Amino acid sequence: MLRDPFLKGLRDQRRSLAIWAASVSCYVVMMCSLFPSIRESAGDLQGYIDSMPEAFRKAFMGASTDFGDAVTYLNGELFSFMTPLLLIAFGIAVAAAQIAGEEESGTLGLLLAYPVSRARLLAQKYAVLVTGTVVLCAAHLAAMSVADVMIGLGLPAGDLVGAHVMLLLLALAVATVAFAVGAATGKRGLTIAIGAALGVVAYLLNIVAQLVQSLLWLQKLSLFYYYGGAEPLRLGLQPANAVVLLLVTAVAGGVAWFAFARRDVHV
Amino acid sequence: MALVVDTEHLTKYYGSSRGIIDVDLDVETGEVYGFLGPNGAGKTTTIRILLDLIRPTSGTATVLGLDARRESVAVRRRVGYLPGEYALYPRLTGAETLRYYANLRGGVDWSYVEALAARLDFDLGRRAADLSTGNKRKLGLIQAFMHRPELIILDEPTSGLDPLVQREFYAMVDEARSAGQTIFLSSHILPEAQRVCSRVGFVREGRLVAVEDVASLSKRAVHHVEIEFAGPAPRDEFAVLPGVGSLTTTDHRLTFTVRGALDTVVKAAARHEVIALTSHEPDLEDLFLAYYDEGAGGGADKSPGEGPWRRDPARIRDDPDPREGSADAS
Repeated sequence: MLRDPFLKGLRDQRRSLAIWAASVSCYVVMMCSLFPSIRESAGDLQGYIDSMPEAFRKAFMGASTDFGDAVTYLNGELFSFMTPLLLIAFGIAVAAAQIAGEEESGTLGLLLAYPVSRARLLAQKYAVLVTGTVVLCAAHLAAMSVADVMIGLGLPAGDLVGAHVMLLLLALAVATVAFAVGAATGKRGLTIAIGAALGVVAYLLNIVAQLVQSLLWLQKLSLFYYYGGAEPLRLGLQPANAVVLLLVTAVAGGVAWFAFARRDVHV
Repeated sequence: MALVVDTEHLTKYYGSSRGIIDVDLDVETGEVYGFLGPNGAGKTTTIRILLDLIRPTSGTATVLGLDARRESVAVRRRVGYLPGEYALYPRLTGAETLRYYANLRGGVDWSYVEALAARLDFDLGRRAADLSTGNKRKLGLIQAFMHRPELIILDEPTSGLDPLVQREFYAMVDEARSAGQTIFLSSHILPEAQRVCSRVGFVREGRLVAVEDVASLSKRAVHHVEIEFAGPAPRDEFAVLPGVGSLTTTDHRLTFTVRGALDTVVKAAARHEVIALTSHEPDLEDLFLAYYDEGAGGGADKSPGEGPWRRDPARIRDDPDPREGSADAS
């Protein structure tokens, strides 16, 4: 596990990744197992939901308001907020631990005195981030699939996988921007701050744009919009939107490479 | 001889603050080159440019015949480096850390790593988080030497090492030189440079102000001589001798400095009854301070060792120097 920076990065992440994956899986199973009782009282809830302003309802719940439907329920409880929040938080934390983390703790200078090019180091460090995020996303998907079978949610398999692909792309887009900040500046605090700010702004922008009709165009500036907003599990894989998220990731990755290859490395 | 390190007009500014200015370095194959200067003079800046950790504002650097910037990976493959400041991975043991570093080089002869650890008395099994400063330094030295590189760059190598380990380090440097490796080390500890280096460059406020052969430095060194006579001190006889300066007399005692060989002084003294004669060469510290003295506006004739930087006469040398007490220098 100490063969190269990529494997060492995975080794460094293994404990925290295991804890994250276990926690996320437990949370998913717990939320899914609450569904049968929610479904029973869906009728009571429906009146409450219907009483909400329509724009508000759409912003937070999407087109479907039937809480007796597992897809609507899971969109509301997990995919619209909690799940992307967790994935993004994990991605930012791992992103910050890569170039910026190594630089701030003082190990990067010696590492780069070895015959490893900056581009190769950056690629391997980024691969750690991608691998970690994929594993966490896969754990989320696995937990949901198990719960689906156990509880009989009847989730459409294609959309389930598609929603997870969109989830992964959203988390990677935000985390890659954070990674680029770390690669360009070497500052861990700034990496986390900008990553978190991007996540929060993207989320709020998508909500606010829907609440204020005249600002609806703002939605297009939000990564959450491309992810699927409040209803990723109903929309499943959205190829055009996926390309947008991938483009953001690619541009951020390019910036990381460009900046890191050119700048001075701190002690 | 082929140059291992060759820089031309190497200049680095950090924003508007000075790093180094117009540094022209030439380190030859097989020599131990001491890069001397006080903290903040620009030693580390120069070293970090050689390893492409930072980029020069202008000028060029060639290491082992390769461009330090464009061919940096090839350079780093053939160079060992001990940074002045660095951190280790706290959760890895010494052995794991070195395995990782060795893997980045495509593997090294592990028995040599163990031999280095044994001679530096370094425990490979302990986690980096539990290592003292001295032990972290030892690990740094091991990783710099472990692949038997052609060029070893050491930034303040002995800081934090206890005297016994320092002595072992000097032996490692001597062996490396015997094996044909080139060593470029920075230091602000002058006796250390005097002990291990064949050539020294003095850096001052970012500029390389002088490069000297340690051996020839000694030859034209200024000696401090003190003669005690049975009779009154024959001041005038000595004052006219070539190279003699800073003459002071107290009763039967004469103290002065001599530039160059002691021959005429010894012959002049021989005409009188001499009770005692002592002479010592100034070490690099004196020479070094003389450079700084001049740079600071002091007279060029000023005896090294005088002035506010006068070295501590009680300083103990840990190895007998053959040049010490060189009354018979002729």
